Amino acid sequence: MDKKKIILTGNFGVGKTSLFNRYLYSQFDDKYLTSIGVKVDRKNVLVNGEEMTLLVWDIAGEITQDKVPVSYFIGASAVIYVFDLTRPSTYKNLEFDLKYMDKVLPGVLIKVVGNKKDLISTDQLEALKKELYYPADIYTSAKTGENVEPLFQDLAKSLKGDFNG
Amino acid sequence: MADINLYPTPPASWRQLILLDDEACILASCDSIFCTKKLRETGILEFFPLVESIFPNIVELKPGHPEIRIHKISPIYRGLSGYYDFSFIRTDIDTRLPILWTIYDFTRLYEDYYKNLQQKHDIEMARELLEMKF
Repeated sequence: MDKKKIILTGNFGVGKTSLFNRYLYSQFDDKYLTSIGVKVDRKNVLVNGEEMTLLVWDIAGEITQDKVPVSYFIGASAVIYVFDLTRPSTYKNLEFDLKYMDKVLPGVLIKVVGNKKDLISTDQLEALKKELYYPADIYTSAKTGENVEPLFQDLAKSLKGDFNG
Repeated sequence: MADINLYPTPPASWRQLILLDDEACILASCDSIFCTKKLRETGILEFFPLVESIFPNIVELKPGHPEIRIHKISPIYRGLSGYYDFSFIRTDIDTRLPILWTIYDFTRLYEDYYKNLQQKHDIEMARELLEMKF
């Protein structure tokens, strides 16, 4: 079976662990508990009738990606870069971080995710999109589950090489 | 920051040495942290998705190559409930050139680190919230 390593990364407190828990265990907890290192689990998905294993790494948040231990990136097929739609500090380094990750993992598939969509209005979201250096690929809410499954499903499709989005 | 002097010389059970073949099956283990009996039947990858995800890179290691080391791991395997570092290196201790997987138990150190980091992040996020309000 095809296996792909996916990394969830971004600043601290943006909801990486919440996305991890929502996707893998269908769970959500409002309380913020920081992560100090890495937790990994797997989920099998179907892409065009073929099974694929996603090995998801939930790694501790850092202000910039160059602070993340390089060993965490070994063998990664894709990176999900998460920022918090309510905290500008979590997307102010987006340009630097994306360039850095492209250097560490040349050509790797990167999805930029704006999380905590449930905390802002549609108007606020539209205003925010104009501010961003790089538009997010998808806006999610780990709390409600909105767009979490599509995020990983689209990623799996992209990794299979038949993404049409 | 935590005072390193608070952490005396760790006991003998602070690390476990496991020899693996290139199929991720256990050849030998000192079992000082956890018993590997259950893992010997099927190989380790089923129980350690972290290792599974980088095993193709581990297999590529040659004797003399620098180790692959992953810090601050919170494994999902029930036999390991704390925080650990994993290191992988190719050895030439016998003709099979087994992979030496070392598990370092840093639970106590990392739990203290966790408490400090949680406090730091809570303060930082509260400060950001205040800055946005005023």
